[in-house]
Amino acid sequence: VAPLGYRKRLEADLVRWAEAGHVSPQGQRAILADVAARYQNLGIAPVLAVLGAVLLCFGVMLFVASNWQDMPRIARLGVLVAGLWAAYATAGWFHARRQPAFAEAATLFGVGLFGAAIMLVGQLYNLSSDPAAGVLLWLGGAALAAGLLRSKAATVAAVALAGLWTTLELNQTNEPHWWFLAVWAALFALQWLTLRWRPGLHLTAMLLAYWLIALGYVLNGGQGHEVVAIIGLAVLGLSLLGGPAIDQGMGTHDGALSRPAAAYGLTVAFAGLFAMQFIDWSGFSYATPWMAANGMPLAFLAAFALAVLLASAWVGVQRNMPALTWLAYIGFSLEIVALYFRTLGTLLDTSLFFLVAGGLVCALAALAWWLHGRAAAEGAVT
Amino acid sequence: MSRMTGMLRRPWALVAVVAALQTAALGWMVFDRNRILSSGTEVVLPVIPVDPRSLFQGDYVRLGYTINQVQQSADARVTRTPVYVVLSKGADGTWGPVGEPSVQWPKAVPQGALVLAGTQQWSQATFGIETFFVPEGKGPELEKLIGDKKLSAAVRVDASGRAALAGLLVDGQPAYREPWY
Repeated sequence: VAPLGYRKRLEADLVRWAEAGHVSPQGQRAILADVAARYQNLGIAPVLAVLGAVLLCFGVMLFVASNWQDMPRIARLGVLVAGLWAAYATAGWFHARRQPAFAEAATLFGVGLFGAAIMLVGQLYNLSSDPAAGVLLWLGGAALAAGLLRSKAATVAAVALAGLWTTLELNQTNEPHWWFLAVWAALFALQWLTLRWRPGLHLTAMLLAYWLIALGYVLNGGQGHEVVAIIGLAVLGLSLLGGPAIDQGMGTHDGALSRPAAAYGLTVAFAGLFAMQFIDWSGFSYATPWMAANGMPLAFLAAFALAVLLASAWVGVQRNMPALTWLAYIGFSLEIVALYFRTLGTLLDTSLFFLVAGGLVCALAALAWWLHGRAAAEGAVT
Repeated sequence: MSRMTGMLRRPWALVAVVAALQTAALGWMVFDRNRILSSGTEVVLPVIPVDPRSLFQGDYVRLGYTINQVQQSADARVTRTPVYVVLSKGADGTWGPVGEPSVQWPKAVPQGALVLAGTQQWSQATFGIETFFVPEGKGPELEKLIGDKKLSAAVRVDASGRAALAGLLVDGQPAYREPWY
């Protein structure tokens, strides 16, 4: 499927290029035909097929949950396994007919049936106690389908199941779940070596960010947010300073890896800094409003967090990284709102804090404007 | 960054590999359970109420045993650790624990006794036999039997101490026992 609006933009550009004489009329037709063949626009049909597959998966899972007694239990498993083979055969049929978009729906249904069959075996033998192990097996099956069948839907399923798996483990043990890192690395490598589908890679990066942020809530008896903040700052710093080297090392074009990495680094760093200041389980800061949740002076941590956010916003504007800028804006707003609620009660002090902070940021804006004007003037001279 | 996707060179072979491996994984799960159920030694454990307020959750009944409650040893941290319980047959035909649970495989196992392997977290030990799945709406019936202390569980234990729930007994008589395959 073509990137959103790509064909429309290309058609408009081609008209312009043909008028300017860059492209011959034959060339224009050939390009349009190539694009049409490569990105068949099937409209909403594949989307509906995938949604249908999701509904079918839930239907099968509920069938398993109902524990219907009119059919022998082993026959129920047989039906599910037969359905699994039929789903993958359908996927193969669509692939053989060069219809990968519909094969996606069939593959997703196959992955769903595999999960339902795992649940059924658990029910059949009254297996208790370890739902995480079942989810891990399911995730393995989804990753297998994603890798071998180049399936985006199975990729999304595998990443989502990895999130479910680590959440179950975290809830069960309340300790860092280190095995997740191995599974995450395998999922990332699998995608990097096969599809390199951007949304899938983003989802995988989000999964790691989620795990890192959750780490702060289980390390050191729930006060490990410093580690999270340091990891996030390290990722942010490395991707900003060593961006070109990272991208070259991984064999992609400039910024393909380092730019998103910087945005995820900022997200993780801010989540850690935010929790250090405001997520209080020990009751420290309720006694003293100017003390952060981890016992450090709140003003110091808040100033540091705001400095990181402002610097990120600045770099984002300088290097044309809108994602980084917008995340910094969002983080800035959250930080300010949290500070407001924390310091509520000492209104005069709060007012003073906001007045000083606002003055500083406005001064920064003026400075940035002045620098921008100078750079533009220099650019005009040279 | 996105590569040309979806076009597979040997789609039939690939989907067959995916389906076969997933089927094999399911088959292994079934085989593993049946190995314990068919070759394991059968023990009968009395079922005790777990939570008098809400025993029934969704489509399964939680089964509690005396061996679930263990002393929190010094080694039992927040993480799950292995725990081993020695079981022997009592006069009434049901089995019960001998001595204290240990974190290592017991060195001396009395004649006629066997070892059950489980996982401990805090003072709670689990052995993988704590849930019994029931058809929709059949839960309260079993709950009542557990409340009346009439229920016991037939459990098969293999040589490595792994357990599988084979069925339930009401007043010592087999009930709720279905063929394994």
